[in-house]
Amino acid sequence: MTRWITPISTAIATGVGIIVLVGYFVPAAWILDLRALFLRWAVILAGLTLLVGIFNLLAVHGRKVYSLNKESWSSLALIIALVGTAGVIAWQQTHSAAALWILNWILIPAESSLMAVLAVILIYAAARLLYRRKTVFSVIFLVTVVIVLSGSVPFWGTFIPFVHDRLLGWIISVPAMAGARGLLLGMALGIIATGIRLLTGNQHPYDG
Amino acid sequence: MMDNPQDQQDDTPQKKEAVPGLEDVLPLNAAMFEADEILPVPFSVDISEPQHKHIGLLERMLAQENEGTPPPAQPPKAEYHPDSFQRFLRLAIGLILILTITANILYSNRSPSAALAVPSEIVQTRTILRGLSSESMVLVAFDYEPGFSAEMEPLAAAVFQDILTTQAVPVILSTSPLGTLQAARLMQKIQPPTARQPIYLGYLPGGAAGLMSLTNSLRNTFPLDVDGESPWLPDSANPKLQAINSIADFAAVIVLSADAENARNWLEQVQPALNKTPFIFALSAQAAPLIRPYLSGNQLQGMIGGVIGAHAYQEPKQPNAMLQMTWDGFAAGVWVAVAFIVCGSGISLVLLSDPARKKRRKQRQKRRLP
Repeated sequence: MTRWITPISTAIATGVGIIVLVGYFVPAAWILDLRALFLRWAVILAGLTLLVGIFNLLAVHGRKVYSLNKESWSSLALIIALVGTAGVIAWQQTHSAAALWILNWILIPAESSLMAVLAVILIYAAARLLYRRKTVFSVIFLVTVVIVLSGSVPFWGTFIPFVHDRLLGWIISVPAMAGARGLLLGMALGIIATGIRLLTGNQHPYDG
Repeated sequence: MMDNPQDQQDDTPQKKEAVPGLEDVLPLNAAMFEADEILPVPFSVDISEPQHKHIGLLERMLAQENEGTPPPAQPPKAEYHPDSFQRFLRLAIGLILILTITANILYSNRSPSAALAVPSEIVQTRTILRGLSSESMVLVAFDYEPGFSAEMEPLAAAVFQDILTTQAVPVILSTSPLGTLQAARLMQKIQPPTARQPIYLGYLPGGAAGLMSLTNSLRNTFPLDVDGESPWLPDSANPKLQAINSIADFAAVIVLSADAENARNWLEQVQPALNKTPFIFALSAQAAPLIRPYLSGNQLQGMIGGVIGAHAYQEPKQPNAMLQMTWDGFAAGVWVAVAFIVCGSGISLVLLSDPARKKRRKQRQKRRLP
């Protein structure tokens, strides 16, 4: 049975992919309608996967609670938080006062704390970089970091003249722009290669 | 019935014997090996004096083995622990940052700080947003997670201040499940009571596919708003939305994003369908450099990047209150970071120039290797 699934799923994925791709180049009404239909299905499926993910999370942590080990308490807290939030949103509206309370007093403080810890770790790592890895590129990296940071904000109400006016602008518009363009071109090439592999059936991640 | 002829031979007498065919020569009887004690064999050996000594030594060694040897003396514990020092350093950095930023937020005089050099893309953004009218409908995407609120909200507030001043109607959607809620939070903070109510279309799942669907058919992608009502009907809360059939009908499309990947999706899927509709990005400082090439390629009409961009966007005469509150703290935090990096790098160079310390460090690294 499974040997039939792979060619069928590959044929469906390739067919749908080709129709969506052709829709970009051929403005025929029926192709555009078909493409719009496929995309609406994709959006609905993506919404459903979110729900499936939530139910899977509930099931995994439900099993952990049932097994009564030392991880059970954190799993129980997660289930209570998930059910409580879902209950509040279902009972009230999506942007109600209760939902905003959860955002203001739980989600934003928790996520912002993690970002703050990340900032401390990054400063610490940058301060110790030369001790761990004394190379030319480390020195270039650190000098760039210091120039960009010190050129971006005023020191006692005054910007550092040459750094803010000239050096920062040059770093942003020449080396940073060149690096960003290189990254974007690399990503585009990678996406094209993956797309061709999917359309020709050489790669089929949908087999399961 | 025996399947294997080999099995038939298993019970033959030959199999029971150690040497098949030679019965009773080497009888394999287990009972023969069961002995309670080993009988002394009468024999005498002449042992010399040195051999006596060796025997004694061996007996003592065996006796000591049974007693168990005491653990070898441990060297006294070193007072310096690299891990605890590093933990202390991280704590110190965190504490100094917290104190500096808090003091600057609490005791800042909120005076207008030095004027930043305003880049051309920010001037363009300002011109587009201030050119909106009360008839304009503006599509705004709130695509950032709650962790980025501290950075993105002053940015969003700078943009929304102009939209609300011109009385244009913001139509809000998000590709993040919490985006609509973030928009509601911002509106609660900055919206004056006289301003027009925004229209919340809600969450758009599917990433790039969702954005493509939005481009192809706006009304089919969002048949209902977050309140479960159709915003496209003539008797809806905002009848002006009747004039909007596609994404190109909006007066401007603004994306507030903290993620370069997400911003790239908007550029690739939505921008080609916009025709002459201005496309503006307000991005976090981490996403802005990756999107800047699209700006020089004229695929974007305006861009603001990070808190620094928001600071450059605001007019000195009309300061953004949310930004003013945090700007001094932000600037102080950045300078503390610079100080730590410069001092840390300097100390590292001094420490590395000491040959004895270098040697100890190499030995430590060798010990850590498995």
